Amino acid sequence: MNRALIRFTFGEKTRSGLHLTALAIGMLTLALPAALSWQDRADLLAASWQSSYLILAQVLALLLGAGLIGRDLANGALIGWVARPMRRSTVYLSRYAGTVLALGAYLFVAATPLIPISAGTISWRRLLGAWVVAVLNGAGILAALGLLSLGLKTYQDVAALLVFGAASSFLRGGLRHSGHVRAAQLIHDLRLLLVPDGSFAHGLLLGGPLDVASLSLYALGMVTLPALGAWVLTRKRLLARVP
Amino acid sequence: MSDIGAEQAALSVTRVSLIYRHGLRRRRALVDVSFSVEPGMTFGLIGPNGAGKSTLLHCVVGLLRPDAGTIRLAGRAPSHPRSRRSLGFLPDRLGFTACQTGRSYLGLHARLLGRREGDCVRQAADRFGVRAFWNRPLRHTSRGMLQRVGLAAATLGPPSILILDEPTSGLDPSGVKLLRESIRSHRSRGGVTVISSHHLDELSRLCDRIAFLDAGKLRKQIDLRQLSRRPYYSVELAESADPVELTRLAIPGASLEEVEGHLLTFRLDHRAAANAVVRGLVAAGFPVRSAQLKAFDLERAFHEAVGDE
Repeated sequence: MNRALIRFTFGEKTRSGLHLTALAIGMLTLALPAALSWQDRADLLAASWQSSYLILAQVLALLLGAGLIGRDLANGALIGWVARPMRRSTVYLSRYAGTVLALGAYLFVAATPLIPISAGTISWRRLLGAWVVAVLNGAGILAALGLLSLGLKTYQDVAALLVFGAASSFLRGGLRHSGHVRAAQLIHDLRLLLVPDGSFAHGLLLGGPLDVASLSLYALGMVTLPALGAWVLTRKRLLARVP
Repeated sequence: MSDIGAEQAALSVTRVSLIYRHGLRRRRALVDVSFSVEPGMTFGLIGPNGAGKSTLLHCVVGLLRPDAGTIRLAGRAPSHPRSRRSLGFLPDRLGFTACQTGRSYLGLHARLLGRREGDCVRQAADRFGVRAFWNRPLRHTSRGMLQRVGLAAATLGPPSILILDEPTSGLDPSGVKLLRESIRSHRSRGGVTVISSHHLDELSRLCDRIAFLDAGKLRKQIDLRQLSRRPYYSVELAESADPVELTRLAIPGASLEEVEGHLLTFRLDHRAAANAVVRGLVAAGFPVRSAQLKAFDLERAFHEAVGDE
């Protein structure tokens, strides 16, 4: 990976007005209920903020990852980078890594107001655990978006991912309801592989049991998807639309 | 700036062919194109729109993979990252991300080359007068300014091989002058420059050799260094003359190439023969209205190469 491109990507993603607005809205969404309820409903707060935090991570990942590589292909920036002494796979993985780092920074900032507001009802350990899970989850979404963006236009990739998520949930629910438990599990596993989900880390960080199957699927997805994206970009014959 | 080794700066293109595929449709963009550029040479590519010039340059830089043939940049395939260490490329349209300014664009490209920002970036920016507007977002700058930023980025390093696709596009006269000076200084250090352009005058001023590309085929290559040793002399007579009588004229150091009405074109063995042409014509009873010495008529060669009437 190229440090210069990672740093550039991090700077680019953390200076975008759209992303900062999403962060501000996310922070308000997290902090406001916490500020209103911590005195009398601390138990409810501790239980509910974590799911809001995970949703924020997913929304931010979708915003940061829209057109992850496809946008660079469309605006011609990729041409300039590939003409430099770097492999195409390095360009791909550096853009991906820079975006994951930016997501991590956004999520860190989003969580910080909770510390004073919750007045100790949310422990440091729990906060850190939630941050790790959110980043792992977001990294999985970004990995899927990177691959999709190579063939789809910006936001088409986001739409495709949302449709895939909704369809797989619907199918899985239907199969479970009709008693096809194994088929439902297969759909679930396939979904975890194609959009790696970091929730396996949650139990681990809180001292619970480790879900080895989910961890394995996550690891496999996180190795396969970026590697596949880098390979597709390397094999791509035309990087520019030449008249 | 360091001198550039002769072996590093060579570029060779051998029997390169490329087909664009759009669904079931296929279009041959390059057909058996071969040429080589020696160190210290400025090589021009001319051709009508859609001739395949940009496609060829994209193949040279490694952005496109040809279907057949080989390309070697300093002895290596363009797909090899090390071959691009000594390469500077200006695309026909500069690509950048939404947040980039001229300064951040040049800074990033310097770091991608493994250089530190600072002197390297400042020198490149000064070479093309970029510093006056380099804090402005690139999306708010004009075509000419973008071109200057692109040229500054291409000459970062400095590279030993410069590939420039339409470098004068959008540039004002002072920008063109800066470009000319930069290419000449690059050549003086032994660097190779490949330019694709429609500005024939500019190419004839800068290039040592020119290749004519039409419908993906390399029609003709002309070595301007040899031609400039035997310049053309265009003479306009005051009245039309009998071509047969003109061909009988024996002028030392000059040979008549073409007669077109009042216009005669001579090929001179040396520049001093120009006076002998005028004296010989007047002595033979052909009054001369005007005369002009030309190194080479590129426009005529272009039309001949692409088969224009």
